Amino acid sequence: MAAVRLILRLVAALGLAIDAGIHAKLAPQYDAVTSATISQGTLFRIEAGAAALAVVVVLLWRRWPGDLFALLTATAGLAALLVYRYIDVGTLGPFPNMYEPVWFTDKVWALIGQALAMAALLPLLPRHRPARPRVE
Amino acid sequence: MFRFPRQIAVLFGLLLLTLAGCSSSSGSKTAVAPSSSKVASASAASSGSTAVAGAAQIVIDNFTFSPATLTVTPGEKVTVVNKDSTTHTLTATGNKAFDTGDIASGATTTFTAPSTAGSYPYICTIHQFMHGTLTVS
Repeated sequence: MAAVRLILRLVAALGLAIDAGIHAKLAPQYDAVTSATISQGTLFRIEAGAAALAVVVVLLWRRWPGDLFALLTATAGLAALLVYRYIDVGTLGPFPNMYEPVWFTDKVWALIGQALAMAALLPLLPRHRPARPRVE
Repeated sequence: MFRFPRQIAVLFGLLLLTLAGCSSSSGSKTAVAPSSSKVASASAASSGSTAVAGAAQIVIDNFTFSPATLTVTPGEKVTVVNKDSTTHTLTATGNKAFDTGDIASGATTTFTAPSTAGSYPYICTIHQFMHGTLTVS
């Protein structure tokens, strides 16, 4: 069981590292997509930073709040990627219009990394178990 | 013992440190100033494109068409180089007098300038805030 959890952590870390690397790479280009408040490049840096931190906590900290943080990072990134791929949301509050109805190599890799991390992290999170009846 | 608040505090502190590290290395945005060119010079050797020296060329880099305004002769071949990581198009607005279709990352394509003199605004249909003008004279 411990070996399985270790493998899951390694897979999650790999997915998060891909996510972080792709977003860090693309951030400078996406500074051009901006609103009055924040650019898509800045949002990419936030995702990259959160994913990089998630790699550390998943591998070294190994506690459920860290795993939950990593799962939320991957899920939020994946959700944003899919929403802005298929839906023209327009500008939303401080966020710029990030609609981009196209797949390209880096975007596919980010999707793979996030999905990989989600799939590996879900089994790591604790679940409520029904209390065992006390045997007298 | 319930350790949730302390763990969250540690995690939050690490997040702030990570983001601080990211933001300190993010100030290298290279702005490509819009410019005008009579006949663009082709200097695409570094990109590995097949542009012929002296041919009209538009480079897409950091979501910007460069030069933003290009003047060509009627029917002239225009080379478009996409240096971004994402796909772009170069599409005339209105009646779509020219349209490159999707230009993948790192790819080069060409289109033929309209045979009628005039000013032809164009955009990227994927990222519609990107725009430029092709002048045929």
